[in-house]
Formats: sequence, structure tokens, C-alpha cells
Amino acid sequence: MPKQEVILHYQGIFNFEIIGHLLNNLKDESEARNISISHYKKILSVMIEALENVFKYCENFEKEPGLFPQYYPFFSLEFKNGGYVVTTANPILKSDIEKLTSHIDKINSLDKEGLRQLFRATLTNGQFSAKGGAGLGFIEMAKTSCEKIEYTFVPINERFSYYTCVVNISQNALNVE
Amino acid sequence: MNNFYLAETEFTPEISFNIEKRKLAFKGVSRPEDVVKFYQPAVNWLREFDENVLSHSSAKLNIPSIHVEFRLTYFNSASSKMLLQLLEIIKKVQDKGIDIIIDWYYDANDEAMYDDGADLSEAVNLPFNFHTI
Repeated sequence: MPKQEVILHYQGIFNFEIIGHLLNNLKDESEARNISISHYKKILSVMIEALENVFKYCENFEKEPGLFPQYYPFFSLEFKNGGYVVTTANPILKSDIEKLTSHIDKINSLDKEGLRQLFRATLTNGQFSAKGGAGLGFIEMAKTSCEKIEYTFVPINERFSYYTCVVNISQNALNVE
Repeated sequence: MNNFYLAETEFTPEISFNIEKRKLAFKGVSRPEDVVKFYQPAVNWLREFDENVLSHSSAKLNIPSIHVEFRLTYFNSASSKMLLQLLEIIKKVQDKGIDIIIDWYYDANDEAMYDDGADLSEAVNLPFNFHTI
């Protein structure tokens, strides 16, 4: 494979069926590129959690006038420096930003053992958000990728910002048993 | 009480609870659109099984042990919370004196699936038997 290459790319209307299509595309691309089962499973895990995060925000923005087409949700999977980069972007209510950044910053501050402990504590708290989130998705992505989760927010209008989240599954993470 | 069965789909697992065979089984992929809604019928069935069937004094004689089998190829993080909820009910069954045997099958190339099983085993405080496929 070249040093850097976009494997999958999507921008547009987003729903549960689109997640399925993108996962099927990942399977096809993995087979075509001889990506090992072990690497495929790690990409799959990060990709599903990332796409499900976008899906959770959909109902907040899909009926908002003036966002589309320029702020449609976005997804890409790239091969880069021997690892894989999963990028998602979507409009997010500005009122949700503080809670989200605090959650990601907390995860980014933890080492491997800290992530394991937070995962187990969150697993056993029995709580689900109103959107069905279990609070485990970002922890799972951080555990799998072994890298800090990167994010940016670019203001769109008074209520919304465009939120981009980047998860690097480094070459080292791919080789962790 | 009837047995419980849900057929496997592209994004939800086969779930089979069979009283005669004393077996609870999960197989396939779990990433439902609404994880709570999907697992609630299974949670309800297990609760009823625990509260009604196993509360009779003869239960231990009729059902000395229950075999729980996980053959999941992938489950999202939200599903793990529901699996734990089901395992917590199974733990209650064990507390009634019924032996619980839990087999967790995973692909030898998928160490994360082993870790997921270990996390659930520790969280519910029930031993799992791990098997590679």
C-alpha cells in the first residue's frame, strides 16, 4: 500500500443504514488489500464507535435549516504512516461541547491501565444516555488506538459548531496483541 | 414458560434461551440501532425465568445447571452494558444454588474479544471458560 491513501470516504445524509454500507465497504476493502483479520477487527471497532457517535447527534441537526450541504456529516478512513486514521465530522449543538470535551480530555489524560479502570467502572454503572449511549465509545476507541483522541470545533452559526474527531490507530497499536 | 428465540441479523445476534436444554446462547454481531430496546425482551425473559421458574423449591432438582454460551464475533460498547445486565440476572440464578457454566468463544486473531469477555467476567464476578475458534 502507498505511504498515505484514503481507503473510505463519505459525506452526506447519515442514518443507521449508511453505517451498515460503510462497514460492508470496509470488509470489501480489507479483503481487496489483504488487511489481516487482527488489523481489520481493530479498524472495525474504532469505525463503529465513531460512526455511532455521529448517528447519536443526527436528530439534533438533521432538521436544522442552513446546515447542508456544506456541513453534512463526514467520515474517512486513511492509511497513514503504517497505521489507520478514522476521521468523523458532524454539526453539534454548542451547548453539548463542554460535556463532550470534558469527557474526551479525561480519557486523553489516562494511561492504558487508567483506561481499563474507567472502562470497567463505566461498564458497571448501568447508565444509558437519552440517546442510548453507554459512555463507553470513546474509551473503547482510546483503548484500541493507543493514541490520544484529537478534536476540533468550528463555529457554524449561533447554535451549532462543526465537530471533527480524529482517531489514529498507530502502527504500534496494530501490533499490540 | 416458553423458550426465547431471536434470529440473527446483519447487526443483531441470535439469542436462544432453551429451558429443556438448560442453555442460554448468544451468537453473531451485536450493534443494534437501539441497544436497550433490542435487549429488553431478553432481559425480561431472564428475569421471569429467575423469578418464576427458579423460585420453586424443586428448581435445583429439575435444573441442576445452566450452560451459557457466547459465540459473538463483534459487539459494540453499548451492547456490553446490556450483556452485563443479562449476566447479572444469571448471577442471581447461581445464587439460588444452580450451577452456571459460561463458555466464551473468540477468534484466535481477535484478542480484543478475549479482553471483552475478561472484562465482563470480572464485572459480574462469574468465571468464564475461554475457547479460541
